[in-house]
Amino acid sequence: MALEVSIHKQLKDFSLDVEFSTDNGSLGILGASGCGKSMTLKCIAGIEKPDSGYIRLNGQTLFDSKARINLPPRKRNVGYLFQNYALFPTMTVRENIGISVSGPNKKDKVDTFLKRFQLEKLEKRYPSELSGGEQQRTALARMMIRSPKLLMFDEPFSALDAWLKDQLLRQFSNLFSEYTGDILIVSHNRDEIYQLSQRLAIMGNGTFITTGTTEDVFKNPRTVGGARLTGCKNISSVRKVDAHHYEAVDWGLTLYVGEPPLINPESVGIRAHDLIVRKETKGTQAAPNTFCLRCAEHMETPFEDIFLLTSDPSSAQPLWWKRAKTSAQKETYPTDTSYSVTLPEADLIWLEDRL
Amino acid sequence: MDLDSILSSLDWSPLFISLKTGFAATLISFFLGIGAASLVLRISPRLRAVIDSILTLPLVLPPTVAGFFLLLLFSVRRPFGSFLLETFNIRIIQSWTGCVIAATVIAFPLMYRNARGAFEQVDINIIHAGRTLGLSEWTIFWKITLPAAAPGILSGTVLTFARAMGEYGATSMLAGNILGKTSTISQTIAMVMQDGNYAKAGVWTGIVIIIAFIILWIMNKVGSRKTYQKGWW
Repeated sequence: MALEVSIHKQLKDFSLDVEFSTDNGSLGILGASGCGKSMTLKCIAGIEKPDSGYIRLNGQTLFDSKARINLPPRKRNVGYLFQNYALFPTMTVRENIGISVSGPNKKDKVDTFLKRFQLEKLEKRYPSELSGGEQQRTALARMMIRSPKLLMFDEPFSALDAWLKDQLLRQFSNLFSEYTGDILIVSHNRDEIYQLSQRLAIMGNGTFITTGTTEDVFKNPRTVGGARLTGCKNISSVRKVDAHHYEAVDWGLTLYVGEPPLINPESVGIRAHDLIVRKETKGTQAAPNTFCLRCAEHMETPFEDIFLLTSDPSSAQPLWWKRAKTSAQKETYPTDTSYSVTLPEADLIWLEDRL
Repeated sequence: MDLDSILSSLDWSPLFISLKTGFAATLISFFLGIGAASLVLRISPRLRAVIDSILTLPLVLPPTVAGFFLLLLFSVRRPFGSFLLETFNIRIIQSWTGCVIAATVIAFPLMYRNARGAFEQVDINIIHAGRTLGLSEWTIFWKITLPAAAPGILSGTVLTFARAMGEYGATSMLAGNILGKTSTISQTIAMVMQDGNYAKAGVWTGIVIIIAFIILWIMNKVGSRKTYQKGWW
């Protein structure tokens, strides 16, 4: 069971050049809106036609420009969950789910899927009478009833509120673990992707920039765009001083590295949670990459404290430091005071392109 | 003359001819309009603009200009008209068929444009969804696209009927005003006004206004219907 994709398609503002293969698992595609994520899914589903290349699923060719093969979407048997769910507005839940089923067992089969997706009580309702979560379950049931060979999800949670999203994420994980084929999930939300996909690709301007296991990609997103998409708040351009020193130009700090980075970096990043901040400023030079920074601003979200730390008030970009609010943490960090801030070498993310 | 004596002596044939013409022209326009709309949306945008203009032309042209072209086409002294008469013994000029053809040509663009607008309003993703679910294009059109476009198509149908029933210019040129055969309400009103018979013209005007209110009432019903609550299609 595998999906192999290698396609090229000229779009209005950029060209889509995607090459990847999956092997029985879930691949997340993370990218900013308009980077070609959805277009990639649509090409695989057959809704859009690539200019050239091939798409194979479990050994069957769905599209091949050289062999002039282009199966219509109805013959590809791939499941596609649309961002707005695309339920048929004039049909009830039951009719929506059963539209692709025929034969004497239709009623039983639809009953089974109504039950499996907890829609028995809603079977006579129309899509406009359903909540977002119910609409999503209907769309899922309608897709799963055909036993598709591949599942594709286009921003599956963008239309739902946060509370519902967390509930549904759990249901999705269960669905995914039961499913034996390949799964593609497209999203611009790093949390969804992190929870749902085993492997991850970061997409920008029509190509896959980074691919790997989800954990690796979050650890090493490779590009500035990738770092941003995976939620890295602090990014600076770097200038190499010598083998062990890099100047983070935007922060106004010179970083020491015991082991030189594997790539020749143009930029460096560090996640806002990874900074280590201490109150005492004396003896700051003791640990490597420890600097005396002034807290310029303090912001709060319901569950986090955010501090902006800067080396020089005039020109340098501040570093974001995020701290989870817990009842144990009583320590306050007033603004306009200097603190000792460490950027641990292991948490530095080296990036190959410029900011 | 009082109202009673007018009503008792009134020849009701213009009402039935108008209704008959309206229904026939609407029926033809309904199928042609929906067919044309769904075909036009499939062709390339450049060709679409040309075809769209041609199909909409009768709505923009004065009806008498349409009548002129229809006369050119169907006159028995011209190739196509004489061919129809000699081969099939069909005479369009001065006949009820002429009424229907004139009304259809004038009212068709309303049906076509409303159907096209209704189809364009349909979320393209539900059509895509139908395709990924393995449905044939035929099933998608009849079970998904058409029902989703139904409100727009129905209001287009009502407008088409209203326009077809009230047609005057092209009808008078092609079908003439023969009492009991091609004389519609619109033509009757024009004729009795020329005779200075204001009372009779007023009665017909009243009848037209009643029909107009019925049409508006139906349109409001169609428009305000809380769509997709019941399986009403």
